[in-house]
Amino acid sequence: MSSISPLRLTEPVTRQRARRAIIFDPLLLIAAVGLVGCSLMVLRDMRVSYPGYVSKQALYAGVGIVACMLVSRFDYSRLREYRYAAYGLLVLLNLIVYAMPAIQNAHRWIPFPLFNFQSSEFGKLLLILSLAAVMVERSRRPQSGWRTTFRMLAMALVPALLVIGQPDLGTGLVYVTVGVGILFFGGIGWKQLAGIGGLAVFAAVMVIAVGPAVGVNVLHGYQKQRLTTFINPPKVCGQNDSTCYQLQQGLIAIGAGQKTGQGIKGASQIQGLFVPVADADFVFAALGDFYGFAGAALVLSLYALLIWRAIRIMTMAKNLYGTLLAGGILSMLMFQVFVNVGMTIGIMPVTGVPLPLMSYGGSSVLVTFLAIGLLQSVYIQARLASGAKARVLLV
Amino acid sequence: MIGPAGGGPTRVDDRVGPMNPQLAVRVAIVGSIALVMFAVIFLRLWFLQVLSGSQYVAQAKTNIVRRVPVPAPRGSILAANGAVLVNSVKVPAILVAPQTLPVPLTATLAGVNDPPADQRVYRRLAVALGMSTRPSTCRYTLSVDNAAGTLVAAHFAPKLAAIPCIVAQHAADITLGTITVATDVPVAEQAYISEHETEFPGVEVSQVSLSEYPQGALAAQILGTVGANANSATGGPLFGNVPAYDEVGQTGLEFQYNRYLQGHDGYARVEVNAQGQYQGETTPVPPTPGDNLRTSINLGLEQVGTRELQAAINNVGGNYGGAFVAMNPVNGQIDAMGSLPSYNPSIFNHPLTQQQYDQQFGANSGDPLLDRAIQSVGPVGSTYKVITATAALQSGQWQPNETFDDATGQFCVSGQCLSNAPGDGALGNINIEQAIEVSDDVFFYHLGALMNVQNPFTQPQGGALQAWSKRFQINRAPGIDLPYAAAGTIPTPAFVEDRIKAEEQCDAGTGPYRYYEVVGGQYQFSATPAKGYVKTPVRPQGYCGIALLPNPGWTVGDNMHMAIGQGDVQVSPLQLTMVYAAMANGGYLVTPHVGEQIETPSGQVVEKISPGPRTNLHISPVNLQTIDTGLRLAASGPIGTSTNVMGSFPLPVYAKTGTADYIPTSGPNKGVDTAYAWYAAYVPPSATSKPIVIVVWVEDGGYGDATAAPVAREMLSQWFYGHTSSFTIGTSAFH
Repeated sequence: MSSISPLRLTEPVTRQRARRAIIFDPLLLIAAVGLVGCSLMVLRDMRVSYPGYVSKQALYAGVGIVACMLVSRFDYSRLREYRYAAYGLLVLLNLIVYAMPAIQNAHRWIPFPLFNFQSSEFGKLLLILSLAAVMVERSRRPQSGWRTTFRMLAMALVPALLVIGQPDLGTGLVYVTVGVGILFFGGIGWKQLAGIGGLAVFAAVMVIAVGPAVGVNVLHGYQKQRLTTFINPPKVCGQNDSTCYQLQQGLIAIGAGQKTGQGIKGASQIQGLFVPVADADFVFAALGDFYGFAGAALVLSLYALLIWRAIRIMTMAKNLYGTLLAGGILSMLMFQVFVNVGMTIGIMPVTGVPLPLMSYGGSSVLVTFLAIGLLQSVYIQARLASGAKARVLLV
Repeated sequence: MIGPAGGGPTRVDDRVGPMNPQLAVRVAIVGSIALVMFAVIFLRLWFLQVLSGSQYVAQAKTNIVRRVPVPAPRGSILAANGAVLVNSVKVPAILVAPQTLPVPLTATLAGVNDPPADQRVYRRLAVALGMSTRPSTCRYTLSVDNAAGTLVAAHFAPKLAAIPCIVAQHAADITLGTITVATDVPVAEQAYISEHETEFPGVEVSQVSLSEYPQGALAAQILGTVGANANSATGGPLFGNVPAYDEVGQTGLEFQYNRYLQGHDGYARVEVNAQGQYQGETTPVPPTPGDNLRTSINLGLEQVGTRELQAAINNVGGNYGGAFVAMNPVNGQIDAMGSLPSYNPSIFNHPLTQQQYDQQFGANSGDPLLDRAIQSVGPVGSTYKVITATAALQSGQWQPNETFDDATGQFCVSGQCLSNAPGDGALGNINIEQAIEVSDDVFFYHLGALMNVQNPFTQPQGGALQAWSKRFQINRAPGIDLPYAAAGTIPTPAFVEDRIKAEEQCDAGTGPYRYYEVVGGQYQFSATPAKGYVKTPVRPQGYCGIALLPNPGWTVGDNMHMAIGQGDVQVSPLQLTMVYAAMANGGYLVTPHVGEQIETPSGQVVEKISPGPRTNLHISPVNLQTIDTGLRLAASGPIGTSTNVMGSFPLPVYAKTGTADYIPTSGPNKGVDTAYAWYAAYVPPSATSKPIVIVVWVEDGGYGDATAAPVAREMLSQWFYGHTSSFTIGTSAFH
């Protein structure tokens, strides 16, 4: 873009370039910026309990938006070439963290001054980029459905297990979901999908029920507790049952918000630190306590908008890689939104998944904005490829 | 570089539009899933926030609001004329609020485990208040998890400085309340701490209610003490209906009338966060102060009694104690009652170190906490003779006009001879009135011998003397409205037999003496093996010292000793007061009481305390008249034992002296042959509109007339004329 110099260009070119320069999906941008704005508002409301978080989050959002705009200017199709490099980087980053000092008993971060880099978050994007590329390649051989399925699943599961070991069960499940999502949108057969479903059920039963019975504990006790507590929450939480406590306090916070919220001072559940990690995983509880049903509905509408645009962009992509990139990002966003919100309102297991753009955290915000940038890139490339047709699609 | 002509993979399949029917179906599926999920989430949110929101609001409220009790000021205890004996006053105090310390206090983070940040605050505070920072032994109890995961009380005794010690001692029962570390703090220090708030996190300058004692040590044992609501024996609360953090009456009237004096705690609603840290406060509910207790104590009489008793004790060396009781013989209301040595109960307003406590109440203190008037029992000497006389006359074994010849000043029966008190010679032919007048021991030995049972084995409960002692309820604790009043002892053949049996069992290590343990230098016995107990070995005869062995058992000598109030007979000053009240009121045993009525702080009567019942002893008027005449002669007759003290008193005084030999088995005078001086006197209702019976007891006071009677004389003077009078004590010929 440095070559753009209006003085030296002829008028039609200028018009054409100018139009090209403003091509992007405005609704997607509105959704993303709106959500991060809501995040800043909630964090500002709880600045007494979480001092300094709002300004840091604003910084992350600013960097994220700039990164998003930069990424959207590139043609995503080129990234296909780097599929193996991306995958290698993904595995490498998630291995490095094991050598890093533990933060809160977890090896998830690579510490930088000012910023702890969370490998698994960035890994989500790398996984989408590489899996979508591999899927494109495999889709030329539709007869090898089972082999494609196994290869893709294996590619997703290796980093997923690395992440689960950090331990970060939630992000590990995001990896698996992304893998399955790309397979699904990549056109894998129903038979294979049924097989994946069967495998998932089998794995869950093994890990949660059979494994512990024979002495093999894949998950930590607390992870298993998190997954199962929501099904039958006890009325009174046990003294060391932090999951139950978290769920219960989160529900009280949301419920107490009622229709329009308790306001900044009245949200005692949040300001009194009754809800753990109200800045990150339980930020939806904070939103519910501060702004009630109205605020929650607004944010959910923004997520609906985000998801709708992701679906729309997936369908309009100029090539399969674009479709699968958007499909992977869509899978990631849907999983995170529904699992996080579902967890907070007590209809999903407690897994440490951040709520995209709402939860406090540099890596999460940055990665989500990069994903939005990729979606924008798919959108822009589609618009540019199909010319006037895109205008029809837009509406 | 941007645009369709840009770089990137250019394979044909990339150029093919990806949309096909299959993808459309799958996108539709995912879209439907998203729709369903959003619908579910919205429904759930609607249910949580709109339908059941108010219920969650209530839960959020209970999450944050803690009730912090605001203790009610205790009611006052007043003398009969309304003069204040105990008062609750607000004083400036320095408090530690455990939850706002740099590291909030928990049961595990107290005492030796105090976090360094808290320790620094304590040190700064100690310096600011001029309190000691030198560590000394600090005893405290905390609830800790045991191996089984249940909370148990654990006792600690590390060396700690004053402030951390006080905090640790209160950590177990304080959650959000405050701990008082210093009271009566000078204004300058209050101001310093208030102005340097940031240097003293967790420290508050406030006011606390303390008990004030305008009369100092006066009647301290009757008033009693106030302390934490914990029963030292059971570990549970002393008063089940009062919260454990409250201060309650421990002894005396404070204990007896606690339910009136206590009041009702108010509370502040304090908002806290998840860590229980203080966030703010809402409107407090003020406490309801306790009601006042109006007693029958006559302040002037109490003061004179205490002062004169102290003077009498000082006269005999000052190392001993004493007690007095003044009571209305008709209705049993206590006009004055005192026990010396005494102490100022305000000492308990401040935490005491073990050293301070030992100095004040330890082995050489004379036990000021003991209310000798109601809790001490011992032989009462000749004052017991009224019971002997009553028993002899009522049983018909002696007649009012019957005479006895005290020819030798000695009385012998079955080879045992007992003499009159030294200095009292032979008195010749005397009747019972004269015997009381001069307190003739030989005469009463004779009555004792007459009333002795022929066969102690067929009559283990003894004869008329024991029966009448029982009727006077010597063996029962008086029903006074004060805790821990003691019962006396009536010696009987069975009593002596039991003692001999106990000695034999103790020496042989059988029966209840089978196992033993030494606690604090004292033997504790048990019939069954218990933790810490070991088998009692066989020891030489008489080793235990319960009874002499070999022992002839009950003899006539026992009854003779009892007849003059010696030997094993034990009576408390209050019991003796009740006996003489019966002589004054026509033969009724009254129930003594101190409490008169309950009043609101503004003085309105809430409740009249009804005195207990009085029991008719059924003493015939003739017999009573005979004894009364003797008592009147003893105080006014030409050779009366206390004529030289009471003879000049304008009103008719009836009185009896007593001198009892006693060897204390414990206390500072353990093993020393001591002469208890007793004096019992009354002015009956027939002679005055304000009848009174007074008993004075001086430990090792020598002769009752010389030491105890003058105290009674001054008290009578104060009671009837409002002032003490100077009078000269002669030396009575008879004791």
